[in-house]
Amino acid sequence: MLVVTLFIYVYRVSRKLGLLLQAVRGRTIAKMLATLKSGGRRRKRYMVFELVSSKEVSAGLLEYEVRSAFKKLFGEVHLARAALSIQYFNNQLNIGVIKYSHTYRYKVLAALGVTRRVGDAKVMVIPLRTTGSLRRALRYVKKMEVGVVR
Amino acid sequence: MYVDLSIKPYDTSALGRILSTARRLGYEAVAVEGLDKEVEGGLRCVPRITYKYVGRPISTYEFSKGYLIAYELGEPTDIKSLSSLRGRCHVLRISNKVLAGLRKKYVNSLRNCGIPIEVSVKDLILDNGLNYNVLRGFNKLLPLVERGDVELVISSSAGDEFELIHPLELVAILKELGLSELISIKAISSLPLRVLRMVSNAV
Repeated sequence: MLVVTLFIYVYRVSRKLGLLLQAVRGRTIAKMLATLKSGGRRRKRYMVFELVSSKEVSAGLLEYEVRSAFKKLFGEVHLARAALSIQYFNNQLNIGVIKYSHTYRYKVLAALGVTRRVGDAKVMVIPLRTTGSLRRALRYVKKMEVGVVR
Repeated sequence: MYVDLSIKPYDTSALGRILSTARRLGYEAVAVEGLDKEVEGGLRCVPRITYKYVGRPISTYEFSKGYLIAYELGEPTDIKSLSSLRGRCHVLRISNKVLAGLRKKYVNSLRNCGIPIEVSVKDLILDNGLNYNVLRGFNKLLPLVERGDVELVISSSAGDEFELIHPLELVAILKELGLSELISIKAISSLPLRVLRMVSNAV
């Protein structure tokens, strides 16, 4: 009787241990795969933004100020990894598209948030939409320029 | 629903521009200094009074029903005696001077007072970057906020439309400073909204 009880106990414990090990293995593999996936490739993102400014601002100067704000906050290494650049800027409507790496979304938003001056103009950047391709971002900008989206 | 609890227009003409920009940014309610009564429109505007704290609260409040009452601490030593303010004001505003000189013992007093603490973004941002001295004090506050010991409200203190900040950018800044996304969103939406509800219920 004792032997049978012991056998059942060992069977149950070993089964539970096996299930636990399997779960840990599965989770570890999933985590490793996620790390490999995200770490392997940095996808580009394009953010359409609107600039509210007290004076007319050029794209070059705006890019310089956003980059220097990003550098002040997060340093040169992150600035290089974020691959920040302004791809398009309409001076008349003050609408533009900024390109960055997908892992740096919050950092880029923070840098845009602290950018308050460009040259001697007071500015405020309003993020409107984020897309995965420049073509789609420009399509949104064109719609805004025509006046479809407001 | 985003709420900005502190707007101080430099002049009367700036107020209209600030309100229209705030509406575009997605704010649904704001508290404005210098308003006489609550205004409803596209954007809910609540009048606000800020008192300078000089060791004790003012005695009468009859005239200020329907107003958001805030006390501003000018010196770090003011934090020592805050228990008298409990039930007398809606928020406790911390100036950049207090944040720059914040010590651990003062932080503990802030925890015990039980009043939501208001920090202005204008104090945190300096020359297209963050103000290092203010940030040092602010970082001492963050663990308490994260634990839920202190309730933090972030406001813009905007004087013109360029000093407003987009809620998404504000959340991003707070997140990069070390707060969790949930608490960052709470600091600009549900918590200030609760304060405004207290104002309209005349609590």
